[in-house]
Amino acid sequence: MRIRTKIIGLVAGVLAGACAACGTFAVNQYMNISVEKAAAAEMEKLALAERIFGGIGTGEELEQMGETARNAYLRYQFERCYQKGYVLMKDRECIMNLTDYEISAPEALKSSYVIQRQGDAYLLILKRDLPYPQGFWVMSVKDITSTWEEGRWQAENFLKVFFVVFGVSVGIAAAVMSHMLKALEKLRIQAERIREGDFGGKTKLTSRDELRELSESLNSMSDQIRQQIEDLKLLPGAMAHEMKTPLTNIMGYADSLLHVRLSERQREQSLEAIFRSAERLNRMSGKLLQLVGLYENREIENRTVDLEEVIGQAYEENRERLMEKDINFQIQRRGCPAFPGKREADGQEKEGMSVEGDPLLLFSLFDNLVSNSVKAVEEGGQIQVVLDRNLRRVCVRDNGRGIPPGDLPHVTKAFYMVDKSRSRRQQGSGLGLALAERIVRAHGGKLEIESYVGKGTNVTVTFEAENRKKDKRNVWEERQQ
Amino acid sequence: MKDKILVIEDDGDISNLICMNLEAAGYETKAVYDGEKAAEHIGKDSGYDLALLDLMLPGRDGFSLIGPLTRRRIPVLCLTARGDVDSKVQGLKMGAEDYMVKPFEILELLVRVEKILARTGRKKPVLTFRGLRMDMESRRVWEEEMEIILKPMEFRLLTVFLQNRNIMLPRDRLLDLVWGEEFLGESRTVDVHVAKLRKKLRSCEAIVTVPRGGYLFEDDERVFEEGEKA
Repeated sequence: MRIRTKIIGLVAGVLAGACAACGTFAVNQYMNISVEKAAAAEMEKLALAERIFGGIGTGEELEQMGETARNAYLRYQFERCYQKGYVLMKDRECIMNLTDYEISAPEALKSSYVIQRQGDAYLLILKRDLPYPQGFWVMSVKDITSTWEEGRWQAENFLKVFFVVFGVSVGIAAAVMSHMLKALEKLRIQAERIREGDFGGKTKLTSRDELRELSESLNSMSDQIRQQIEDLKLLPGAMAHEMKTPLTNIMGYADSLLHVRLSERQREQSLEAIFRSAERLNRMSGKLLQLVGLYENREIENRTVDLEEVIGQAYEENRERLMEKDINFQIQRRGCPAFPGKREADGQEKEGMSVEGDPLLLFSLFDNLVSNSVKAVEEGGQIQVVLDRNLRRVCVRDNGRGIPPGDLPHVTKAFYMVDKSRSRRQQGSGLGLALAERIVRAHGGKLEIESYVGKGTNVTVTFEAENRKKDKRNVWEERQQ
Repeated sequence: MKDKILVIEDDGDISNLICMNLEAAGYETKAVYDGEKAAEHIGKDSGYDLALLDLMLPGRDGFSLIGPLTRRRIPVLCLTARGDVDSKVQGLKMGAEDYMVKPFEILELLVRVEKILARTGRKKPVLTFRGLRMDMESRRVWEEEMEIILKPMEFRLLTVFLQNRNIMLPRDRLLDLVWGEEFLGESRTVDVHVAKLRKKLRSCEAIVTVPRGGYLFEDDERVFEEGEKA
């Protein structure tokens, strides 16, 4: 059953129940009071008549009369004192009936009054014992059909009000529901669209409630999925494209070696070109594997890694080229040590900066960043690595050629190269920053690139604060338990 | 008197590969590595018979060079890694003569180059090798100033050899190139015609049989020349 039907049914049911209960109670109460009132009035009349009737003689006088005479006398007096609508009874015997009705089974009258239905008419029947003579009592029969009718009219009125109120409330509930459900329906349609692979659509809900939050989550989820899929989709295409150049070289030179008469020197050149291209393919495949590994979210090792050590390794990896270009490479440390007393003689803090993570990936990150800087700077340039403990970040700075502003947003895309031929000459694969970005993200950090053409580039890696990360893990562990 | 070909390609290795083979086959080449420089260069020197143009260039998009090249009556053969129909169509629409997708075979490149040169009337009218001289217009052949009578197929076969010197030509490719792709002859046909050429012309001793391969027209002069240059 649809939620709409369910909720409206529920609202209608509850409303109907509540109204029915209230209505029944009110109508009942009204009827009771009316009847009670009528009965009280009747009782008073009876009492009044009784007082007059009491004046006809004392109990003793009546005792002395014979039964027949007494009954006749009483009948006479009764007719005089009481009017139409009363019956004089002795025990079960009807002595004098002034009503239009036949009396049967008077013993059934047990309480002080009773209501009886006689055809279309409603009768209020009251009973009052006479103080004397012994065993005589008076029955009053009053037609209260009008009171009864009034009650029914009241009930009908109530019913009308009930239907109006019920209709309006259910209508309002349905309207509100359908408005909310429309939002829900929108969300459902979007979820459906995501399932079908359409990530372009956005739901725009204006209400300020959980539904809007849900819609916003859905929107950002769809964006994220689209981004990921686009990244993944672009990857093979970009890869195939990048492979074409080395493949063209390998095939072309091999073809030439096989089928064309070449000079000795040309043969050597061809072999060298084949080797260079194969090397390039190999480098590309290595980086790709790393990148795909990260996409597949492989188990990332999680242990305390000393960043200075990792950066040292990255320096070693690039040392040859740093020397070749005569680059000034510096590592600077900032931020107060955790224990000021714990300093070594040279003033350096003993404790380095460490993060939780995968040492190989972190090495690859800084290797890529340093190697990028080496490619960017001119001979005799400068590269600075600044570690900031307090802010938990590492900056890799160079005074190289910089990235044009138009290219800046794209440099972390796989196979994006600002200057293709230069990148190729310097053995770039177009994957370095894509990889770096992924590694940083996998460590819950942020990679920011700031660059000015001709001035240099500053890449900042900010790691998540240690305690926050721990908190997160605790939450995770708790959830698992 | 060689045909001059401008090679606009940013990858040094590919550029060298193309130039090396074109030179081996008997063309003169000039390599330019970037779009901006190519545009500058053709502004100064437009004496080229053909331009090989990579469509993905640094500096300036390859597509934008098609116009300036064709305006200077230089036919363009596009070379690119992009294999999609759209860029092919775009390239051809903009006036390129032909289109080749990387990676490509050397022989295919040479054949296409030749076809374009023939189509645009830029083929040299006379082919020479040592004492041999072929007049492509009158379809006559002289060796040491003596006219030799060749049958039409022999003439075409010799033309193919002289246009693709130093490159191994498999028998089936020769069949395609000389007799046409519809010809259903056997590869023996090629052998018979080669034998006839060798018999009629002394310079056709330069046609070498490559075991299990095909034939190769040796022009030591060119390999030597290239060797020197390189």
